[in-house]
Amino acid sequence: MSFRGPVRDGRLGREVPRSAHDELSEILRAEIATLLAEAAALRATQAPFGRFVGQPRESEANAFAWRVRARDALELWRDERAGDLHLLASIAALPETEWPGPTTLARAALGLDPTPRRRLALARALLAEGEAAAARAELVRVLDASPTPEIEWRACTLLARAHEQGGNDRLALGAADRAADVPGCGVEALVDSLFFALAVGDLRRAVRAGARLDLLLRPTAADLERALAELRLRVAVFRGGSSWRPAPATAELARALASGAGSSAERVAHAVLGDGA
Amino acid sequence: MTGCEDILDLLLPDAAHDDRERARRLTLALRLFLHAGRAERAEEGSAALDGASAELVELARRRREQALCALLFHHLAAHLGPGRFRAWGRPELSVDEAWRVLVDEPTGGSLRLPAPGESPLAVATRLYAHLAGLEGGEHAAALWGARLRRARAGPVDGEEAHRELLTPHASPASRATRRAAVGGVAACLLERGRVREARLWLDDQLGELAGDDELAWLLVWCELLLGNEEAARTAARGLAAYEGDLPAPLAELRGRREDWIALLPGREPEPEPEGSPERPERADLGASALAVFVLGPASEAVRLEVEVAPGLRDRVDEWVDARDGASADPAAPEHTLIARAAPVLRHRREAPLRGALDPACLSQALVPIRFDHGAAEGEVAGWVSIELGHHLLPSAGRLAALAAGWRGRVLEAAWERRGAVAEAPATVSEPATGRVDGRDPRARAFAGLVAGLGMKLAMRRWWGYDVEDDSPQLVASSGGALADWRDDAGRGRALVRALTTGGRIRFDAPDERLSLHARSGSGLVLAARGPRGTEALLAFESTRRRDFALVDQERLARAMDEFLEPWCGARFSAWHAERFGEEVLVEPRLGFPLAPGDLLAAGRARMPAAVVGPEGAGKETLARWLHREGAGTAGRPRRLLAGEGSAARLVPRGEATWIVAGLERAGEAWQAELEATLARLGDEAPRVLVLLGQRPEVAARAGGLHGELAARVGRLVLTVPPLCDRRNAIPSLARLFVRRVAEAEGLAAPQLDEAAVALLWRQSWPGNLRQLEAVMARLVLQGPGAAVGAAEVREVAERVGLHLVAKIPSRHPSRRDLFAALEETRCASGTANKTRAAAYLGWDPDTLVARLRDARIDPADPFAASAGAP
Repeated sequence: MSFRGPVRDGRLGREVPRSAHDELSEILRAEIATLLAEAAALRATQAPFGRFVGQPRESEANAFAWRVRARDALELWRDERAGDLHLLASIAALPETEWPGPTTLARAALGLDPTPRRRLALARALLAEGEAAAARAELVRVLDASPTPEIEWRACTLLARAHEQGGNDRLALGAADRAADVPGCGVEALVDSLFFALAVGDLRRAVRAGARLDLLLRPTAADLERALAELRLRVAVFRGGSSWRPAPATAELARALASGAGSSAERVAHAVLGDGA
Repeated sequence: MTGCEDILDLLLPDAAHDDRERARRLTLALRLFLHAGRAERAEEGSAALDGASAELVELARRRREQALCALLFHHLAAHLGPGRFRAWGRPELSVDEAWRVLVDEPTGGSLRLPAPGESPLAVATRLYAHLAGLEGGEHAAALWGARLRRARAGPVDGEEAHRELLTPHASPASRATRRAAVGGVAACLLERGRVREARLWLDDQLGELAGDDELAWLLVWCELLLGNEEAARTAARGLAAYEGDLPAPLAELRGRREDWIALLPGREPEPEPEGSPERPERADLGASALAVFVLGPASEAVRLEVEVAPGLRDRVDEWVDARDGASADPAAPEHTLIARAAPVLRHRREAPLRGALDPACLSQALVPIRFDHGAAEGEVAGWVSIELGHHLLPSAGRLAALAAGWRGRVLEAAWERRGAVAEAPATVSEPATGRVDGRDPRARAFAGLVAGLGMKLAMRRWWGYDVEDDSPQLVASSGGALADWRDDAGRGRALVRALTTGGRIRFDAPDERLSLHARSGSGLVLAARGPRGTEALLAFESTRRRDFALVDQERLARAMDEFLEPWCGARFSAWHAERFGEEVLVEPRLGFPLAPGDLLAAGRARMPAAVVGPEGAGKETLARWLHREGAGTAGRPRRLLAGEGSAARLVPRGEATWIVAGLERAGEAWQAELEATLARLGDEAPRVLVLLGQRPEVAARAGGLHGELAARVGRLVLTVPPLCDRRNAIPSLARLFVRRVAEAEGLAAPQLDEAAVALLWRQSWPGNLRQLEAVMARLVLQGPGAAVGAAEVREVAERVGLHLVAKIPSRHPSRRDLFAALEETRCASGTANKTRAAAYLGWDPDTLVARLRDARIDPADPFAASAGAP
């Protein structure tokens, strides 16, 4: 929407085109949304399933860094009268344990910035709180919105985790496989697609996922280490740890991979089977 | 903007998408500030107005697309009918809402409302034309085009159309369109019974299923239908309960397999209207075997059409042959089909389905085709049988359409086989007619059977039918209810079904077509089957519904099996009384020499036979029985007294049997003449049954029988034992003779007490039945209606010159006598009553125990298998 002519902005003391003002407001909203989404991600790590939903880019910042950035933003925009700033200010004033839940924060971020990325953050927050069905619904909306490849593989990976949380490894495999097919996907997508194929007993997909993993990822990659640690954790919590065994159809492949422990795929199998191989 | 983005790409080559986006917005804001100082600002405002206008247009377009899609959903769903596999999700608008959107639009006039009588498919076609013409609606139009094609041309074309949406050369589909196309392919495959293919397809598309619970449910159902219940349960984990209309075949499956309810959620679809007749091929149903049979007049299954998968062809002939007698096998599906005249749908659980051609089949449907007029209206004329390698049986509506498709051919073949006269299988044209006479031995046999069953009769009535040549004749009826059954008669078709299947027929609700009393609440018909098929029918009906649902059917079936022997005796006795004026007692369990199966075989043989036994043992009675079994109920045998007249001049007079008595006393010449006559007549001669006191070869050696004649009759020898070798017949025979004489003389029958019966039992009766009958006759004449004890019997016997023994010699008794006494006095619970047995033998109980031990019989359990009963 637009209109003709300049408008007067009293606080700035000069005329500013409304369109430029709108853009600045947009930037402000996006900035606040980013900070709220980061807060949601930070808060999600304390939620019951927060350790199993992957690490979003927002949460790479720790709480201290987030408070610094929040303070800077509040300082920069202190003359703005946006209500959302008050929300951000009140959160920043509280200790993290007293923040609203991750879903509340993520919803606030999505309200300010209704983009697939923010919806993805909401899905992650829901999943962290154990709301797998609601998370799946949000993820489907993300995927239906023709997202960027990065958002797509992240959404598919989260969808796989949501199905895993619901106990449905077969659909988890479908989602993980789709994530791994997205160009530029992350390590966790590749690792999950192999793991779920072994769990379900889908030999064809397991062989394909193993080859893809070896092709795209060095076994010494730091990201692989992190993904394997997370996978081990999930196996320990959801599947009884060392007592977990792959489905009979892929047991032989899994044993063969685990006995190698050299290539990326072998490291995945070894990580979940351990000495049980 | 593109240039700007290029610059940002150069400046921030490694920046994440979000960072670049933020930078883009900041540069945009700066550019706007710069732009504000220029004179041509008005142009920007104009462009913004155009954008707003375009936004409004797009909003209206989307609204119109949404309404068209919703209407297409409703109209195509109406055309396909309820309960079809669709996977279309849910419409966003109702029919009213959608039409309102379209009509309220400025351009709404171009789309007219459905005309009266206009078919849903025609309306859908018009709607689709509008959708296809809608700018920006390509994805939706492509998807609904495929669905329209399925509705028009069937699932094969529909599958192809949906697959085309997914091909690489097709215009890139949105994610939602792609998912819908995946579901469309699966739905079309399932609609054709291609469950295995649908499962493979969905498994290939797991990525799409992960984001769509409706698609994921299709996978769950495929696994379930293929018998992979565990895989289905795993695939259903975490899915939101399916809330749409459950496809009709699955809704019906849910009713049959209650253990699968959790895996078959969803709304019950509206009842399907019966489809137009169709005659699909096996592949169209996804079946491994499709067969059509006609039920012949003798309950035989006549093959009309058999189409099977290539791997099953070697088994077809054997399977078809086995169908022939299946209707009489209670465990066979054909039996149930004919008994109920309703479809039989079966699902494999663990063991393979009995009676199925395909050992790997998981489900089977037998759909009856019924006579549509005549006396047999509603009865089974034939059936269609389909076997499937999965559990997805077609819906009831589709099966009905399938039966309708074959009805013409099956009925034509059925009428052709039955000929012009017989218009139905074994008919009970007037089930209410028939004479019920309590004195008829058959009526007494039925009464004994019913009493033995121990069924309460206050609210029930029973009918007993004698079945000869598949024609039932009412001979007995009794009960505490439904006494006016002759005035308010039902059509009694349950009897026909019992005759056709030779098995149990039960109905649990009033059905005037099936019941003998039009207002019966429930009923049960049991059949006694012998070597010739059904020999007798026993029908129960009750004033209450479901009155026989909890009755132990297996116990009844066993009782009917055990009834066969006494029934055959009773039936012969009735025939004998009608032809010769007196009843006889010929039950095999009482020592008569032949069981029903052997009797039938001996009776049906054409060869001459010798009936051997002492005087008065019942040789002639056995010969008459053989005659009846061989020649049927019509006519009577001709009795020839050897030595009377000339045997050379004997000529058949239409009779089927000659019974020759006194042959050993006839001269050599008469015997030679008889032999010459039989040789001359050859096949024209009636069957000859000779009554002899000793075996033919023995009589020939002794010179009492012509050698050639002895050789002729010696090929089949039947021996009637003396009465002392079948003592347990004596009490029944004594009572029979008392009743017979009393009836003949018009006197009251005396009552024999236990001591009198025991005394009669332990005699050796050298004159056999004739001697016993003489004593009984004197008893009746001397004390009609009196109570008769051992003293009265002894007194009468002395008068006819018979000295009765007080006991059976106890020093070396025969095992046969020991067991006969124990058997005759056996308790109802089956255990031995040694005190009574000793009384029958004339001993004290200690003597009986000692003799049992001498004979190595356990006195505590003399009927144990190890006791070696004779």
